[in-house]
Amino acid sequence: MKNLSKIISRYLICAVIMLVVTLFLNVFLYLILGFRIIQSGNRSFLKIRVLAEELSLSDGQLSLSEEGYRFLEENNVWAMVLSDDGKVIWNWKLPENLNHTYTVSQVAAFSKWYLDDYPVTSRITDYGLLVIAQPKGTVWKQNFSDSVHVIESIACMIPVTLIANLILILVMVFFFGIRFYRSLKLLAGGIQELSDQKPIHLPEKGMTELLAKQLNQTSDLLSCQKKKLDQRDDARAAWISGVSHDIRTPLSLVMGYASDLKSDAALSGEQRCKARIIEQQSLQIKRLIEDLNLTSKLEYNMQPLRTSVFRPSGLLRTVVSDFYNRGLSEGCRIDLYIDPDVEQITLTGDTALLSRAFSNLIQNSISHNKSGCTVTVTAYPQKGGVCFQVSDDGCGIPDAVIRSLMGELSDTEKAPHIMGLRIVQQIVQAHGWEMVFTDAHTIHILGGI
Amino acid sequence: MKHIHDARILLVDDNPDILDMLKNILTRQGFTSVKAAENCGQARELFRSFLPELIVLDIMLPDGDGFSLMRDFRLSSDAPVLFLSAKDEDNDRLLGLGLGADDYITKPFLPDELVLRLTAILKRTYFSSFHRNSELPGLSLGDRTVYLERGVVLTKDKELNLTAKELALLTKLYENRGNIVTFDALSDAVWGENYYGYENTLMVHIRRLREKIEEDPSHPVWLLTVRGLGYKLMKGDPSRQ
Repeated sequence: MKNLSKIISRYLICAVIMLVVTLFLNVFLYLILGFRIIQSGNRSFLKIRVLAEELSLSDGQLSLSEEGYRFLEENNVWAMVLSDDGKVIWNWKLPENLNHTYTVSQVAAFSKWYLDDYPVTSRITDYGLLVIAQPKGTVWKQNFSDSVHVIESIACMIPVTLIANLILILVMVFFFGIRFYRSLKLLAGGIQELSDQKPIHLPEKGMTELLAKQLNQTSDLLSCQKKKLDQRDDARAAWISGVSHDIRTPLSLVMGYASDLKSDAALSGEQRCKARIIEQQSLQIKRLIEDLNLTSKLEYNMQPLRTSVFRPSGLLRTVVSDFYNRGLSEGCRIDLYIDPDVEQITLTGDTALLSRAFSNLIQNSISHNKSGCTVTVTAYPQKGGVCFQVSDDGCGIPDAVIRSLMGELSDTEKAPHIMGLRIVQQIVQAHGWEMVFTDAHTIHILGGI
Repeated sequence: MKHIHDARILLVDDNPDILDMLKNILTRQGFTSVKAAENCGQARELFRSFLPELIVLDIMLPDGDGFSLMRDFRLSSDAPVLFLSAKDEDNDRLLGLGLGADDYITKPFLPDELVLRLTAILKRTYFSSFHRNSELPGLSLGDRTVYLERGVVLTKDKELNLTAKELALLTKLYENRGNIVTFDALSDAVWGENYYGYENTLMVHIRRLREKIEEDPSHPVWLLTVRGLGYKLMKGDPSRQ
């Protein structure tokens, strides 16, 4: 919504700037135009004045200087001088039909308008009325006269009209701006809802009709896709859950009877050993089923986090103690180093899942180093949280596993089976924590940072 | 019921193979009175006629579910119930335990674990008063014997009293004898959840406890420190190990 207000305020500012610029440009243009008109009027006035000065009387005859004739030639005009009684006493290229005596009313008429459609200009000289005519159709003549009061009113009305226009335009700008804002507000709200993955149905009318229509279509499309994805995820999770559920009962029978045979004195040692292997492998399948269930739940966000405030130091001690209490295989050792500053730190998380994550990491090191190894678990404070470090001196994590977890494996490379580590990563991500591999032997988990 | 193995146990599961196997396991462990039902109808009938003292219940049954069945049983009997189900959802587990079930085991299970849990429930339900009335045999730690109920340690020539905190620590260690008990679990047992800051006090209490239960407190053989993790109360006679 903040962005929308920004857009609308910018629109209003732009509109006002455009208005002011146009107004000033117009005023400027009209000023130039007016000046040019005045100048042009002055020029015709100047022409006839110059010509009048070139007239002279010699031997009772009017004559024009050479300068005057050149002026007439250059401007392609004809000229005549009328005596006070209307007779033509001098002329230059005067059309034959106009070479006659003019009455006062004829003089009055052409001095205002045209003489036989010739635009004429007249000037009183010492020798009579000098009239020069420009070619037909080249000059537009207009006489204007009005009362002084009207002229004064016009002078006053111009600024008033301008201000009124300005106000009217501003009101319109604001009115359309608000209408535009309202239409956009609806759209902006719709886009926000779409980004929150909510379905929308905007009214398809007004200036944003097309946009609203397209947004509604997008919403329908997204809803449809989401529904299909949800259905697919649900089906996948339900399938995994169903399969694992169905395996549990037959596996119970396998484990139960294997356990029975394992301690059956009637069987030979070799047979009892085989029964023990069946029981161990069944337990392995049981763990795999649990892992498969947990990983699919974490992947589809179906595993609710039962968060509580806990001490990471206590959690690590419990995890490591559990390994010792269950019994470590020969050659294996787990060293735990907790920075004294970590003791007072509390974090928020699902302790059951986090214990599972740390157990998985330690178990991984033990399982992949059959000849034994030392697993070192360290916790130290970092940026207000805790950095957990699990490392071992064994064979290390294969590069393909790390790249697969980091999503760096190319399409052609086959992803390794790494459910245990994948679960750790999912648990860490579900908590908003981060898992970092610094080398093949060390995994860092940054919690609460 | 004179002995735990005399307990009448009702098994309810829709899978006859599982029922056979459970019967075999329990019979071999010495339980003499075990009956099985494959559905809710049979279970209700046996509940009325057999009057079970412990019920092992599956959740998914052909003509109903174990939760409803348990509610019905609870109307007329307080017999402990142990759910044994292939449903491993937290919600199912919480629902079962919330209804008052005494335990919840998910399939597949280890037969030994089932028998241990089942025995523990029977002991807790039918034999705990017996244990309360008769004093437990003393906890023998070399030439010293600890009587947890009385909070005393008997040496060859004198009787030493344990303080409340020492007793709480020793009880916690005794409950997990042979296993490491973390500093946190011990502190929690004595001071509750907000135990931070009591680490040094814990060490002092352990030192005093050693002075009472160990022959040579500077070289303890019963109450051992596991560096960085916690303490461990040794099983058996450590000098012979």
